[in-house]
Amino acid sequence: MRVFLLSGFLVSLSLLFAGVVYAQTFTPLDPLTISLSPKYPQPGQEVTATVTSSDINARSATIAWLLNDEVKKQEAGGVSYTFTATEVGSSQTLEVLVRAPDGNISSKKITISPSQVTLLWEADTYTPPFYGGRALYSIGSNIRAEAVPHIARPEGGFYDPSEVTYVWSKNGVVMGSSSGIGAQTLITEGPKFLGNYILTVEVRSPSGTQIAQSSALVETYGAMVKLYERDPLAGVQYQSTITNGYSFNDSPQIELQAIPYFMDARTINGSSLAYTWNINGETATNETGSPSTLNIQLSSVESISTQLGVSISNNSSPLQKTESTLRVNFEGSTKNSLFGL
Amino acid sequence: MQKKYVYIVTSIIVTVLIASLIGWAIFINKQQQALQSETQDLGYFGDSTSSNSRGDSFFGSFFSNSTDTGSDSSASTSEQRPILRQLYNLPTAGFVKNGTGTVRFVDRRTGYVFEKDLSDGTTTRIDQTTVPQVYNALFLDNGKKVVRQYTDKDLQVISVLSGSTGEGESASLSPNILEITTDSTNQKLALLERSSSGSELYIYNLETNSKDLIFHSALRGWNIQWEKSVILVSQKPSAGLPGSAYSVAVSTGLTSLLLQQKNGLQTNMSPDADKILFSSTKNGLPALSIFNSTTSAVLDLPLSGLPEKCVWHPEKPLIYCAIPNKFPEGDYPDIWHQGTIHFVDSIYEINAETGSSTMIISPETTDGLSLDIVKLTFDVSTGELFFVNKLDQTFWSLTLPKSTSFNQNESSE
Repeated sequence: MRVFLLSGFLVSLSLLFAGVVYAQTFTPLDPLTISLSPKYPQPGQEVTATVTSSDINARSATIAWLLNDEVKKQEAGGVSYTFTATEVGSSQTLEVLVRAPDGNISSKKITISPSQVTLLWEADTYTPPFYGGRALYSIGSNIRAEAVPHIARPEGGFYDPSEVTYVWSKNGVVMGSSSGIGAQTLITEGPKFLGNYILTVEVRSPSGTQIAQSSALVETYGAMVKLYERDPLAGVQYQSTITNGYSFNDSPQIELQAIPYFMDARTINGSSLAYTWNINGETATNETGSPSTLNIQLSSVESISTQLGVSISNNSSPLQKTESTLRVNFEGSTKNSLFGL
Repeated sequence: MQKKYVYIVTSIIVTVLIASLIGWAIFINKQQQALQSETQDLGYFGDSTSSNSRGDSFFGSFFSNSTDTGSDSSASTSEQRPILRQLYNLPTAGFVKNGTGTVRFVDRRTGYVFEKDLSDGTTTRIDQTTVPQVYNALFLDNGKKVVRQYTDKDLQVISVLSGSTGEGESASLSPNILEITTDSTNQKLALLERSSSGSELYIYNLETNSKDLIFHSALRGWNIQWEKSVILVSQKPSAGLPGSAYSVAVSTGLTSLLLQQKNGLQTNMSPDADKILFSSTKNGLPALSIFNSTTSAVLDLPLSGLPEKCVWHPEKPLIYCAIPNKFPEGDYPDIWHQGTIHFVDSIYEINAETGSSTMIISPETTDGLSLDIVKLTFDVSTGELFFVNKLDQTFWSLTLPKSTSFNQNESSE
């Protein structure tokens, strides 16, 4: 019975609103504001609309929400309504009707045309060939970013990325010189002092009526060096890093390859990277012509345990330095000393 | 009497001599047969009769017979149990299954191309062009051509396209190649190249050695996969970073966003280009899901794994995946790509429509084998999976048992 009465009330209210919508003249000074969260809805995203009023206590009013002219919600004090944004290229009309306790009715209608932008970024740092993972950011490196917009033209189709305006910002501070029409890509310094920042791009259609935004948290991960065995025939054994306790078997001569993951360098043996190798705390000379490798001539009949280390610094980025020290085991061979070549 | 004694002694001596000669002949013959069998099996020697250097070179320690495990080869058993075979016990840079019941593969240490007959197990070296340190090899045109990728001392990648049997001229591809893949018919190449502004994706014409640009980006860390008429470009994954994936139409270069901003995203597109198996980081692990590009629906799978360790059935909604038995603590897939940890895999069959999965084999349990499977491919004509064990780069096959959906469906059709 209560359900029936409530339904009857709602139907009556909606009919009342329906009549009002077409009969009432609203005040020129629009007292209602609809705000969206997120501010720039992306397609398929859940969006919450909230109505506020400058001269009505909305929480004491009866409020109806209409999406594409269909009543979706109607309740006293119902200031918020959540819906799903439509796809890029189509639009939705969202209308709110507010009936104040004194009987005055106000309304507000907005059109939502979701646009989309995807912010892609990566660090401009070193990874070895055939590496399957992402280059991560280390201090002193640059960030490469690209915005991929998806904004529909009113007449159909989509804007070309070169036609829309991009506004890039770091932690909310606009980078004016990097922003503008067609500024789809960005190469910029990463965070300083092991910090992070939020990189944001806002994209506007030529008319400025369609806006999309995307952000990314850029964090410092730090460079790291990993050591691999370099087989003279099979090459660098990327599938297995040399870790503490690693054992080298059978071969009297061993070549090590240092990989400076995520350092700011174009090539592994470039002039910007300085390698220092040491064996048992003493600097090992390297005459291979490749500073990132170390040849070890093994020469003990018995097994030996040795401390191996390498440190890498970046001449062009003084804060960028990494090192690795490991204790490894060499199984017996036939000669009598251990030294780098 | 004395004469008779001489005859008897002489006869005995002659008999012993004849028996010795026969025995020696049999022994020598067996030795030759063994040597011939071994050289054929691993094929290091172009002319099996010209060398007997087994044991006196670096190849010596590598000679062992191919390993069949998990079952014997009788038909009745093979119907019930998967058959795991080691096809090559040395590092393998790449392979292709030919339609003729053979596989061609490239030895990583020498760059030699071998052909193995899967029915009788014999292996023949078909190209003896020496190219050491081949990290990756890619076959084209039904195995007639091969791209070998190796590096110089500065680890810069060098890619050379040549005939896989040694004939024809070689062509050096761009030194700026970041990623390389073929279309599903192995007739064309797609090359992602480093450019001054980022990267560029080209379709390479094998006939004219020319290439057409279809996509460019400010980013360089893209994985590429070519299925039907689209190339899936997907950001390289890292556990804590969001990644996105696009399809690029080969004919027009038109891009469409498929997956966006998913942490640790890694992808593997179905042969019909309609679905994408992807992983994203959930609770610290790469959780597998299937994205339907037509409906945008996502089907979460009850498995953790990496799509690059999976292969789609070419015609049916089935996926075969090497699923790690456990994940040591760490960021995935980063630490696996860096070689900090290894996986020990079991192979699963996944129904891409229902999400149900069945374990086909756990080599660790059945055979005590640690297989960290990469480069997984599937041959629909024989129901065989081919792959490389990342741990030692050896080349393997797995014949699916009758109990799998693949075989059940085959028999019911």
